[in-house]
This record gives sequence, C-alpha cells and structure tokens, in this order.
Amino acid sequence: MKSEVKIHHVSYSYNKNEMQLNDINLNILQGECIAIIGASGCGKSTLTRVINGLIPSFFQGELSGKTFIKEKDIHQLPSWEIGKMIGNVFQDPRSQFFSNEVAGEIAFGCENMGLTHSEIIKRVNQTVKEMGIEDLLNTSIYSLSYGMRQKVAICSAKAMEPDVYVFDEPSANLDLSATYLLADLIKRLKNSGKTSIIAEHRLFYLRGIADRYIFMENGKIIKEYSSNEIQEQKSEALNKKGLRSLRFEDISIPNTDLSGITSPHPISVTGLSKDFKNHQLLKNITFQYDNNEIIALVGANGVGKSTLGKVFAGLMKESSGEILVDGNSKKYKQRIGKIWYIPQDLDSQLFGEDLIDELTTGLDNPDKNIDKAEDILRKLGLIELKNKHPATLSGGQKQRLVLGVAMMRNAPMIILDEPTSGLDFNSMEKVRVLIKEQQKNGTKFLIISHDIEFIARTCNRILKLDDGEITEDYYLENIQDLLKSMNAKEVEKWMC
Amino acid sequence: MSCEKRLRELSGIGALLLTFLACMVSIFTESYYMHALFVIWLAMLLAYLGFVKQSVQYVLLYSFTTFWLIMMIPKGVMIISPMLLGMIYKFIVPIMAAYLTFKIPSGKLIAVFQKSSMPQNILLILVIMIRFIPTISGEIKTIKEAMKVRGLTGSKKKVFFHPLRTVEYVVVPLIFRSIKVGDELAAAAIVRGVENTGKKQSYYETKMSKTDIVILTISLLLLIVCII
Repeated sequence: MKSEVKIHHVSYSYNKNEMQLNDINLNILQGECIAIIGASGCGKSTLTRVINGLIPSFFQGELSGKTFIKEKDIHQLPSWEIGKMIGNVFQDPRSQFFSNEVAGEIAFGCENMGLTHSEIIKRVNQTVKEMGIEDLLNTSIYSLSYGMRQKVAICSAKAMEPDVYVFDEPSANLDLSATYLLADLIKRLKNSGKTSIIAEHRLFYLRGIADRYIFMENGKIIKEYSSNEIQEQKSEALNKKGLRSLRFEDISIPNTDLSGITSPHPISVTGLSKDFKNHQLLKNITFQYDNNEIIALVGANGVGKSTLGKVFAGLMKESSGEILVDGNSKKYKQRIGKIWYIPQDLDSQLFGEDLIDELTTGLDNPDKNIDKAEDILRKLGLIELKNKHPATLSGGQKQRLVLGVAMMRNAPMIILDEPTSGLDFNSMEKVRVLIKEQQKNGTKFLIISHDIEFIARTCNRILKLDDGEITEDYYLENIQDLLKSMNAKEVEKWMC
Repeated sequence: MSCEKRLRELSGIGALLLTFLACMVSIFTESYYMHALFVIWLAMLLAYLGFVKQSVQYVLLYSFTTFWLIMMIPKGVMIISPMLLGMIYKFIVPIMAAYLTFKIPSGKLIAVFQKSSMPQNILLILVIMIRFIPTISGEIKTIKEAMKVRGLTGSKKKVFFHPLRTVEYVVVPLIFRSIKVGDELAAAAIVRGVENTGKKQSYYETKMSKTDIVILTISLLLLIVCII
C-alpha cells in the first residue's frame, strides 16, 4: 500500500522551554484509519495541526522535521493547496461554521477552490445526497443539534473531495447517539477508501473502526497498539493513561453508603410543568431527595433536561407545580442563588479578573471573603493559579472553578449541565472527587449528563426524562441498568 | 407561494440596495408624512416576507416615537430623552431594511461582495463580521443567565447606580469568548482555502430576481417622492 501521510522527525515548540511535539515519526498508509490518543495536553491536537498545515502558518513557533502528503512536502505548499488534500473536522460545533445556512456552508470550501458556479452546485448537491441531508439544505445551522452540525462539518470537508480527513476531538460536545452517528460517518469514509486521522481520548466509538492507536504523552509517541491489542487493554489501564474506557461494561460502580451523610436541606418537587408556545416541555415532574444522593438526569437531546434544570434554578418560571426547599414553597425568583445552575458553556460564566476575584465578585463584602475564597481555591487544587485570569485555565480547571463559585455562596443545591464535555479521564476524576466531597458536606447535586463513565462513577440515582416526563427513577447498582437507560446497546446495535 | 419561498427570491444585491435606499430616505426626508409612508412600505414588505410579528413591533415603536416627538416634546415632557427618540426615529428605516438583509442566507451577501472588486482582506473581515452576529446574540443570552444565577443583574438599584459595572460583566466574558471563537473560525477558514487569491465564484446567483426588481422599483419611486 502507498504511503499517504508521512511525518519525519517532526518537533515543535511555541515557547522554547517546552516541546509540544518531540521527534514524531509516523507513516500512515492510504485508506488507514488512525486514532491518536492520549490525555489532554499530550500533543495530539498539535500533531493534527502539523498535518493540516496550521502549524507553522497560523500557529507560530519553531517547527523542525518534514511532513509529506502523497510525497509532497506540505510546508512548501500554500494553505489552499493543502486544503484541497486534507479535509478537517474540529471539536467545537459552534465555531467552525461560516454561513448561517447549510448550503452556503458546504459550498464555502468549493468556492475557495475557485470552482465555477455550476460545478459548486453540482458538488453541494452530490454531497448532501450521499450523506442523506438533502432536506436540510436551506436550514439554519444554529437550529441543528451538535450531532447534525458535525455531520454538516463532514459534508463541507467532503465537498472539497480530499483524500485525507483530520478530526480533532470530534466527539467532545456530542451525546451518545450523535457520537455513534459520527462513528458511522467515519466508517463510511473508511469504506470509500479515504484515510482518516482522529485525535481523541474517548475510545469507545472507534472500536472496530480504527486500525491503529498511537498513544502520545508529553509530545512523544510512547506506544502503538493494533486494533486487537487495544481490545485487550482493561479500562483501568487505559484510565491510568488519562484515556476514557473502551468498554462501558468494564466500569465498576463504587459502593457508596449514603446513611452516614447528612442532608440538611430537604428539597422536593411536585407536579412541575412548563408550557411554551402550546407545547408542554415538562409534564408533571415529581420527585424528592431521599437523602443527599447525587441524581443524574439522563435522556436524549431535546427531551427537556436543560429546561428542567433552568426551571428548578429559577431562571425560568414554572407554569404550574411547586418546589419545596426546607419544607417551604419557593417562588422562582426566590430559588435563584439557592439552587445553583451551572451551564455547559464555561466561558460565558467567568466574570472575574483573577481566581479570587472570580469567587468574590457579586458578594456584598468581597474584601471580607478573601480568606474563605483562598480556602476554597485550596480545596479546588487551584491555589497556585490564584493570580491567573480565569479565561486562561484549562477546561477541567474552569469546571472546578465554577463549582467553587457555588461553594462560596453555600448553595444548598447545585445543578450541573454537562460538566464533563471534552474532559479527559484525569480532569473528570478531579471534578468527580470534588463533587463527592461536597456531597458529604451536605450539598445536593442534580447532574445533567450523557457521559456514561462519569455518571457511573459519580451518581447514586438515575432519573430518566423522556418527552418532558420522568419515565425511570432508580438507585444505580448495576452498569447494565444505566446502559439500558442511555439506550447504549440499541444505538450500538443499530450501528452494526 | 410560502413566505420562505418569497424570502428565498430576494437576492443579496437586492437586499443590500434596499438597505442603501432606506439610508437615503432616512438622511434626506424632512416631511413626517413621507417618512411614515416609507416605514409603512417596509412594514408591508416585512409582513409579506413572513416577519409579521417584527413588522407590527416596528410599526408600534415607530408610532409611539413619532407621537411623542410631535405631541409631547413641544409641551416640555422630557421623561424620555428627546435625543433617544430622535435616534430611534432616524434609524428605524435603515434598521428595518437591514433586518431583512440579515435574514437572507449570509452566503448570498458574500457572493455579492465577491463579485465586486473588493480586496480579499476587506472581504474576509466582512464575512467574519456577518458570521459573528448570531454568535454574539447567542453568547449574550447565556451570559445573562449566568449573571442572573450569581445575582449580578440583581436589583434594579444596582444596575441604575452602577451601569458601567453591569456592562463590564457582560463585555468581559463576551470579549474572551469572541477571541476564542474568532481564532477557531480563522483556523477553520484557512484549512478550507480562504487564503486562495485566485478568482472565485459562488454557490448563489448574484443576478437580480423579479421580486428584487419590483421591490427596488417601488422603493426607488418612494425615495424620489420623499426627496421632492
């Protein structure tokens, strides 16, 4: 087989002290599907940027070594020539689109290639037909789910007809069924003879698709696994490397004894409903905390999980029903600050100039609370970073910081919306440990998530929401129950 | 014909020219009646293209503003700043036309710019500006929610006495988010060949449609009447 991508002694650093890539050698054959795996910061994203040419032209720094695609040295080529050979799909479905509608987006790359009007139309129509999204051509991208947006991203790369596809953590913001949809698309690219390179720390969806797994650490390739070799790896061993589990069945559910935990503020919901434009988003939601158990709220996209979270926290007004805190009915405005809601998008909730300021901003006496803030930062493991700007932290650090803000206000209950999207195993663990500690101190948690691994290790009780109603409510004892609630088996089967 | 189909008939050049004519009306018209006539025309157009709610909102805002300017200001009722009212009065015509422009696919507008002999760099800035409007409005919504949780929007008293502090709370995360999105967008554009300096064609037609011609002729006639 012919070599498609060849990386020859590549090293890269953007500041001279630290090497982001250290003497990388890799030969990728035509039609191969390669997973580049490793914890956050191991250099896997950096490596994709060398392959698609963004390093060194867009991300500056010192690059040595050579990269060839079809035996052409890509760093001698202008960016648009590389673009014709390599299609890219990035991590964030909110920031890789140029048009507000699907057709224009898919056409964007073709327009830049200098194709004629009729050729562009032909390519766009052909691509949407092959991918089965003809009916979405005139749809606004902002109305699509994240999973569909990644499909559009693949379409817009495909329309340029490249032979190599580079994916940079494409599943980071996707729920389970969307992740399997992504896997299906990658499989189709592979079956049509295209070469794929995927940087990831979630491995489960690549099972049976990736031919080789390249494990990186500190900018170096440490080990290479074949598809069979990675299957033999136990989840525990993968977790130690910062990787997420390959098989959900392996995940052990920790035994937690809830009896010793104090539960100072009883909270219950009765008959909660929310109507919106003749449509019932939430129907007669009733449940109460028995103890201080951590509840996971699961269900497919669009069944009303976030709406329930926002109504609970008083950001939206309920249409009917009652929420009791400490036995007293609380109107929606009274709930704000008592029931603390942390949305998925972390950047839009950081207001401070440094970490201390972040924790004290909005308090009546910020100056008197500095000692308390430092205490909390110590618990979060962020005290060494206290003078940094919150926006410069990593994803996992930001997640802990926003939890710290809630701790600062002594909120009796915290609702987290997708707290682990994009987090590798180590960062996820730190968030988990923090939540468990707060549980012991009496805080109640409701966690909206589609991250099976995180739920299994963290939550005690599962609530499943389907079309605005609670359809399942049980204590988690067996991983199989959880997999069933998340439809994991069915989606996987449907894939095969 | 459905409203969506009607809107699809409007081309990029048509929408841009309509906005230009609306600016002219706003600058040159002195008569209240003629100005009102153009507002009614734009409101009809918005409703025809499926934006009935927005059309009614604009007309109500316009009626209120004009009423206040003509009836209350001369009597010395200054509860609302006359300058603010004057600004709404002047800007409402271009804003209504611009609203339509932003409702058509951004690809259509970009196609028009591409056809013109505009330098690549300026074109790229325009493309990204158009792209950023929905991002920013989405971000502001999530920021506001986060502020609510923290009690940063809190009491009206706080907002009134510390308006700058409140603005800062919105602007700081917005800027950080914009830098991040901007960076990722630029990278996504480069790998898709945006730096190619060669001649480019577009997915969308840049020719004017019949709908365009009808709308623009009526608008132009109204503009002439307004100026005379």
